[in-house]
Amino acid sequence: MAFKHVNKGVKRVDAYEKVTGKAKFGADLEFANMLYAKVLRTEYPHAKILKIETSEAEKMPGVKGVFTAKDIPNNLFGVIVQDQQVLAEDKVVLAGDGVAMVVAESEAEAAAALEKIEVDYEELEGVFDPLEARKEGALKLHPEKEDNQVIHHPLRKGDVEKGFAEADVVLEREYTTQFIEHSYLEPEAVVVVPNEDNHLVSVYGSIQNPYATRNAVSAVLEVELADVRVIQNHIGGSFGGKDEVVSAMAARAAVMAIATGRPVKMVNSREESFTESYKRHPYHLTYKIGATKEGKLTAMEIEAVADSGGYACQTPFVTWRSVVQATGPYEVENVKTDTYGYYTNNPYTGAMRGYGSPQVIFAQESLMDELAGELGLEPVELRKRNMYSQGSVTASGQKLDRHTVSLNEVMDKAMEAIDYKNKYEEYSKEQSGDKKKGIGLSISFRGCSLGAEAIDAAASVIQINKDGSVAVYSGLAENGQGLKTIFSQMAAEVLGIPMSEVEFKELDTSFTPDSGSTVASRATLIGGNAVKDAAEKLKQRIMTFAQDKYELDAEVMELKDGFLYDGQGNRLATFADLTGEMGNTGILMSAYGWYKSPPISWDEEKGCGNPYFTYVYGCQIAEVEVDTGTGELSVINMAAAHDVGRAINPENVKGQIYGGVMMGLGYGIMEELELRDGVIQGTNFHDYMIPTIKDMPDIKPVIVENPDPDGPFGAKSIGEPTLELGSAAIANAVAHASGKRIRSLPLNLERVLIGRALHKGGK
Amino acid sequence: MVEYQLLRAHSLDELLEILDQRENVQLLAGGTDLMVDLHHQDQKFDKIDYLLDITAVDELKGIQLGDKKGEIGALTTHAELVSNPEIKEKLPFIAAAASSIGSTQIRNRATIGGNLANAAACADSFSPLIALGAEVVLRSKGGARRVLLEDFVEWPYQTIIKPDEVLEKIVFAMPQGEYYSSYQKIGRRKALSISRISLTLLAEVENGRVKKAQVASGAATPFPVPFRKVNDYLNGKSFAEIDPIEAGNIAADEMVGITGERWSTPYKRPALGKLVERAVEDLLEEAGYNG
Ligand SMILES: Cc1cc2nc3c(=O)[nH]c(=O)nc-3n(C[C@H](O)[C@H](O)[C@H](O)COP(=O)(O)OP(=O)(O)OC[C@H]3O[C@@H](n4cnc5c(N)ncnc54)[C@H](O)[C@@H]3O)c2cc1C
Repeated sequence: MAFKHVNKGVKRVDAYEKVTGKAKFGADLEFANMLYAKVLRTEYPHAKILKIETSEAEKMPGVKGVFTAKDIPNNLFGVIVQDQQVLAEDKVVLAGDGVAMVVAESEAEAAAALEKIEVDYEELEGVFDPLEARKEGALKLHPEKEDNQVIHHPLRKGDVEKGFAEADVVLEREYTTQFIEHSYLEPEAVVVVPNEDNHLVSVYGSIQNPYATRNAVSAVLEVELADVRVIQNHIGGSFGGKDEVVSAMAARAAVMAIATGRPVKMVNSREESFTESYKRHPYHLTYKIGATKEGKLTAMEIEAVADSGGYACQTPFVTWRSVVQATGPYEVENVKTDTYGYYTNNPYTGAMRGYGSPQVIFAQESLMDELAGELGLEPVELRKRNMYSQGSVTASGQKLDRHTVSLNEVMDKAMEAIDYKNKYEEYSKEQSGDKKKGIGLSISFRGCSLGAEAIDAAASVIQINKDGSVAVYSGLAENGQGLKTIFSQMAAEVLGIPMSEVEFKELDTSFTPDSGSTVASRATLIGGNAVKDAAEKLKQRIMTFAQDKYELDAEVMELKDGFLYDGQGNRLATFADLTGEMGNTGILMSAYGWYKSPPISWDEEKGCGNPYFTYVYGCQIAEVEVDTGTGELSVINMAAAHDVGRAINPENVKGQIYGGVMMGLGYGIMEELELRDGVIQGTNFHDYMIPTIKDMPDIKPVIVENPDPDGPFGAKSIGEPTLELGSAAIANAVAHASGKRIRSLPLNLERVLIGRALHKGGK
Repeated sequence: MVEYQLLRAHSLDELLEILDQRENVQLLAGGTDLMVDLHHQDQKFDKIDYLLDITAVDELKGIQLGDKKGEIGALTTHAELVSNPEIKEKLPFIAAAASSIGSTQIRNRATIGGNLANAAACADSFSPLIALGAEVVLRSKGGARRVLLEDFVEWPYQTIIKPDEVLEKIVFAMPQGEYYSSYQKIGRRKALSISRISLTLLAEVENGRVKKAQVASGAATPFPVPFRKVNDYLNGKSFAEIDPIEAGNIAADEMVGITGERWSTPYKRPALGKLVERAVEDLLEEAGYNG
């Protein structure tokens, strides 16, 4: 099928306003009579609040109000578990918990007043390691709970004892991963306007998930959802990071906006953002794997322990994705997996691009290379003997037969793109000198969209105006990933109009229907289907009208390039005239689109079922040079092959690949949020290292397309898969180059040279 | 909040006059260290009354390399050091060090004088200049004094500059005859990277022998020092007598002798040893010795 707009690298619809600086971000917003607010955050990771003295602060110039937990109607919120405090009430559980806030005529006045607030604390002992937090008798951090466990997901298949008995080789390995900062370019920002257009509060800002933020604000204010309006602005990166932290900010600003009757703006500095925002979960992973000498896997036993920090946040779902994907894309008869999350007094952890997959992939794909070494097999060979193919059954018992299982294809294409075989052979030979090259790969399968986490449905609205211009609304949000462009392409494709006729509108929760969160790489797949649905409904209406008007069969006529054709190449009408006429005849020229995902299932007790209705497959290969004399590591080349079903916009897909590979590289070799007893050491980018353009390898993106029966135009997901594979590929390449296996991220100078990390002040 | 008044000097005389007349003056060159510290409300600024912008003082600019002597004005930016043809040709290790600093934007603003006066342990300008045996010229209204760069820093972020002095320029004797150099830096990434260790080796050679070697490191010790034991090891030796690995070991021991065992020593010891070993290998290779 030849497409007109879809499957083409069309220009981003929001490119012009962004490159010309016209795009307004949260911090750019100004409202008449606006106030500014700041939050006082604790430095203690665990302490009782004895007293908060605000009277001095209240007297400071410009101050319009000082607020503490007692001013918050309902102080607890959370998407999954309602345990997160808007402002700490009796106890702070992490260094960064807000304890009080000030609203004033200027930001400087608010900041000055913060310094006058006095808080008496009684410091409490803290727990900073989930392995400690899980021990019997460990200090309980949330007294109302039975213990520190946030969640436990088991998965059982076959009999692992039997499986290990059948194995010729059994390996047991431990891997660890680190805390990661999202590092979005734009720190959090919101403005809350009270009593605007018949809403109690309108929330503007840098918001990833407008509906989740609306839920949180309405829950905190104890008002109806209809009272709260959330309007998303341009967002300077999110990567899963602008959910709960922004919801808390919005709820705080809303309390102050209502109290003062004036718009309230809050913008985090980078330091505030580091201190307050949630992070990617560090994991402690224990893997035991058995295989026959022929390289057939017989059993896997896996335990993954995630650090949830002070709050539950997204830990229950993050660790759920881990339990589904922990074995990697391999057929194993006998599997026993347990994933856990525990409260600690560390910064809390939540959604971040990958969402429970980067950690397990690092472990499991490192392990596959270790096992290959043990068996004397090449890494590719071991994988090929065990990986999923059409009709394979996963660890949770799901048969993969609804879509194309393309592991073999992505692997072969990635290998070809980087000349893997020759390089593997060459670098396997003895290399002289300190600088050694190596090449390593990793593969994954990834469940698309939410899976059995929650109801998975989305809506859209399309409106055809009387002049033929088309407005598209979606309940899912642009996060910078290109959603507006993709949805516009889909609408233009179905309606047969030029892209220039399509206007994508900002998300406004009082207008567009709740479509859940823009997470889990679900926007193109679920939201795209909803856009397509609305467009098809309208097209149907148009063709029915045309059929009557021209007395031609709807099947033979065609909408193309903004014209109606008779099927013989003759134009019958312009899209604008035709739809304008329809509107004047009294035909509704708007339609809602709706899409609900195919059925899925999950048995939480046994850990089995069909957790996702489709999967994507990817392979990344890293070529590295390791300086074995200094520990310096250069990633020279990377190939990334991803099956996206269908690339709605191939240039956008490449953009996702470049960005995801770089984020994965940072995760793999340099990023690490350093904590000392729960306190972040260094809250800006001079301490927290992210890769620069000079660290960027030559990246070869390979788009693999096997259209999915359930995807719009066959499209699936790309956002997260691009990030999850890099660290394992790099670790495998480093081991190939240097002969040294590193089982902890990141692969920094010290780990590469001496095999362990060193910490300031440590021994 | 740090409160101060901003002043600007247009000539060296005016600058020295202000320093003489007023107290609690902090000089502002490229601002790439200073503005960051100010942003953090660093306590060291509690006593600052004036910020004195010296970037318009032409007398502090310029690079002059003669046959015997060379000087670099304090306001010379790292970008100027990278692009100056004479530096590139005669003192390539200085260009190499400058090009490893920060990013394009930082190098365009940041000055060599600011790098020295700020005196961070990891500052990259020290090791090449110490290897050169450079001196700094510190000028006040009353006159100027010259101090060996290796005696300039008392402790990290603390120099011997007096409140009424400005670092005017860096002066040094040009290396003579046949000489070779090597600059190396280890960082955590490829740009905008603070040195974990940096190293300069400069050696004058004659008839297959090291006549005068100077090895200096940055970030290996709390403040930069020449590695005298390595220098002693190399000085006077014929190429055949030199073992690069041994030179590396001597340097590593010397470093630990200065710093004691610190949290970072398990990494820095082998890494510094390796850099010295490589620098010595570079020297032998460039001098045309092939063992
Ligand atoms: C992003 C970033 C990356 C960086 N990367 C590196 C790096 O890789 N390597 C490195 O070594 N440094 C690095 N730096 C630090 C900094 O850029 C350098 O130290 C720079 O050379 C400082 O020069 P400046 O002109 O900006 O000094 P300023 O910030 O203007 O001044 C620094 C200090 O020196 C004093 N001072 C300045 N000039 C004089 C003078 N003539 N006489 C007396 N006192 C004076 C000032 O009062 C102040 O105390 C980096 C900084 C940033 C922000």
